[in-house]
Amino acid sequence: MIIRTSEIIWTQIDQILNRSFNQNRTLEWGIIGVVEKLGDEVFLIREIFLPTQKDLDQSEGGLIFSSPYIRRAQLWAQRQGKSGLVFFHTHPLANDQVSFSWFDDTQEPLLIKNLREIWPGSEHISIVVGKNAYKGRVYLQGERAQDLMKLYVIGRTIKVISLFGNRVQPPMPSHIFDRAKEVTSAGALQILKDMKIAIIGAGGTGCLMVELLRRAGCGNLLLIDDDIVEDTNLNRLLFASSTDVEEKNKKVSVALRANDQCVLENKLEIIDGNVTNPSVLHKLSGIDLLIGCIDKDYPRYVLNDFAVKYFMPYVDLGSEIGIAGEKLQSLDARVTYVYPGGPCLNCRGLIDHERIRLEGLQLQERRRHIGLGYCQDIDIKQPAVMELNMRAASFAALFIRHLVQPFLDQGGEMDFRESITSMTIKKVGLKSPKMECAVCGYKYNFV
Amino acid sequence: MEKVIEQEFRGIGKIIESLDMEEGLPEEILKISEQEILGLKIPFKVSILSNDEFKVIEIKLSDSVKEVMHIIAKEFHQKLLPPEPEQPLDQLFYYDRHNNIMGPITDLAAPIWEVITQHHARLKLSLKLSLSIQVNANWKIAPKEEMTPRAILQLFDLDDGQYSLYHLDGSEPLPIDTLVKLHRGERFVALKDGKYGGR
Amino acid sequence: MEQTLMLKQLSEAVAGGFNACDRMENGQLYMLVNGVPTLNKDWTIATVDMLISVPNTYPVGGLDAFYIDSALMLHNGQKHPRVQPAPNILGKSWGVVSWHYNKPWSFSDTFLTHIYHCQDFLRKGSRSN
Repeated sequence: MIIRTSEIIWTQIDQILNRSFNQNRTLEWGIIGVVEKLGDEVFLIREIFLPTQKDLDQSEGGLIFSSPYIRRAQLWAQRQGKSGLVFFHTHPLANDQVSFSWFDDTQEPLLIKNLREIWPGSEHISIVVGKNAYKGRVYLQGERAQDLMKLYVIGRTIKVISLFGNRVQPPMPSHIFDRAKEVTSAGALQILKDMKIAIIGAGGTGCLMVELLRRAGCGNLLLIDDDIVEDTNLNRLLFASSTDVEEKNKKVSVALRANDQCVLENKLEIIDGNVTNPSVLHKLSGIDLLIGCIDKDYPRYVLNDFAVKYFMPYVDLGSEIGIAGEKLQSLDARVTYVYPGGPCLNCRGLIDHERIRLEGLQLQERRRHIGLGYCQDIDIKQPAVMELNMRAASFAALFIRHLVQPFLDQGGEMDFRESITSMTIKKVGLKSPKMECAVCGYKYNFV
Repeated sequence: MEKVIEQEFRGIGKIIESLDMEEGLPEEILKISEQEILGLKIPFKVSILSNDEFKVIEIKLSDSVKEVMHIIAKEFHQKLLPPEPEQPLDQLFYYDRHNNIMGPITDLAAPIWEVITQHHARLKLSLKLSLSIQVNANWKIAPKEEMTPRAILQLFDLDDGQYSLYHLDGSEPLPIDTLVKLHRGERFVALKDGKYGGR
Repeated sequence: MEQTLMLKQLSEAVAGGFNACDRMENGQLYMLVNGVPTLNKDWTIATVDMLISVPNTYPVGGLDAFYIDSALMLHNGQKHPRVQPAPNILGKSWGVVSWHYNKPWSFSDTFLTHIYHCQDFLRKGSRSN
């Protein structure tokens, strides 16, 4: 089981807890948050309640969360339909190892039992914090406490905190990655290896992402697409052949075949499906990183909405060849990163609702609307070449390395556009007057 | 079934019509086998205790005491407490031949006809609605209409040094020694402090 | 689109006084609204049938444009210039009107608000440009 939260929330939690380690190292500090369960494996820390002076009692050598403090969080959580509470408390003298004390083990179950009397069906989390170590457990319905594995903090980078109670030294990585260790160290590599990464779209950029991520050391990949291989794909679909066209093979099967034929240290799972189908989307609940390699606006909207709602980091790729008449005007590659607290694809104008409307019409009906002057290019097969897709995929793969071990310039809003024709790469700002995004609530200004 | 019985026992309808609720069940009915008593509806006088208003309603003789309590409560636009499936804390009383109120009836599963015949009771019942209150998942009868939170916690065997008491939707703890006016069905939350320590 | 949402919005349209129902042809969902008041004496008929295609991406993909019974004519004997010919749908002859919103479709817009929006075209009569 893992927990995920946003960098914004984590920063506030950290500020309170660090009081135990920065100043007087005898005082225990704590904070209460609200959690929401997503699927069977993930809890999201949705909200935290900063303690006031009356909320914590540190006078007896331990820490007491006052019942009004707990009540405040519990009432809010219950009214919002959330799953339970999370209690953080520190052990100030613990450094690289921390565990729940005998006192925690006797008192906490009583509190949890009390909470469940008031709030039937609730599930609660407890995390004890040392200077460099964290230990977490979850009280699920009708069961004893279970250990938690990790806490993901999602923001402009991805931080993974082990909840095993000690500083875990990452194992020595395989020699396969010797030449990459200066870019991605052992610790970061272990994060990539453990993360579950979903690539949506197995076309020109998607197939490249699978290969790049496998070779970067990403251990758990999920590839989703429902499309078959066509002959016009062969100029850019990695590992696809004319046999795949004749046999009408699925693009995801091509990727799986290549994965199985060239064994590295990863698992690749495929889903022949579309994320606009709720049952397929539901399978993304246990994913740690989304990568969008899609060329339609509605699935992009669905993924964006999902990522924003569930604090999921989402890297979206795009490539475009611009033609005027018969003349090549532009060759552009794009990588955009969506993270909690930051602008989403909708704010950035990367989702066209008019296109979404037309994508939802049957072919004949769509053509009538196009005939009326709506969105002339929606049914036109856009030009595409592997080299351009590779620019976007390559940058995205490097960006994913950066997320777990930062090395890029952190300024700006995580939207990168490369123009091959003008040989420039730039960070793109938001382009609209002051508005609040209907999807993520981000308030963005004209840049 | 009622019609079948009336057809088979032509006299029964007339007997029911002429029942004197102050007297109780006549011999003719008592002679009917237990099987056939099922489905016979008999008029009873019923009231809520401490309220003088009596109403006449029909009750099946085979209904259990608990079912009869529900019927009477419904007639007076009330509900028994605690809610199902728990056993009610409210009580049902009967009247003897001299019109003395007797009870409460303790066996809630017994059919009402058995209770009436056993005690030679009138066809007259009164329901006492107790001052039931809830704390967390438990219900008890409050001994007084006003109690302090301390006393309420003690009533529910909760340590007033460990727990604070709240109204069901309240976010502030009730002052521990300030009297609270209680109403039937009122719900409270008792919540502990959360204690942790590296000791 | 979700069945419950469709039913809810159709019910709202009916509660708004319109004879609205759903229809399907060749996999395309339509909202058919019979007898929409034309609201302007420029038209030769007082009520007209309207047909609106509903994308399966609704409500994220909104509504736009509408079909109008091809019997709709102005008193000068002409069809309105904004009404373009359209093929038969649901066994009936229609004209199609592109009638843009001047703001993006939002989640507060519904089948009913779109009917009102389309009725705006009718209300303006010959002045609808």
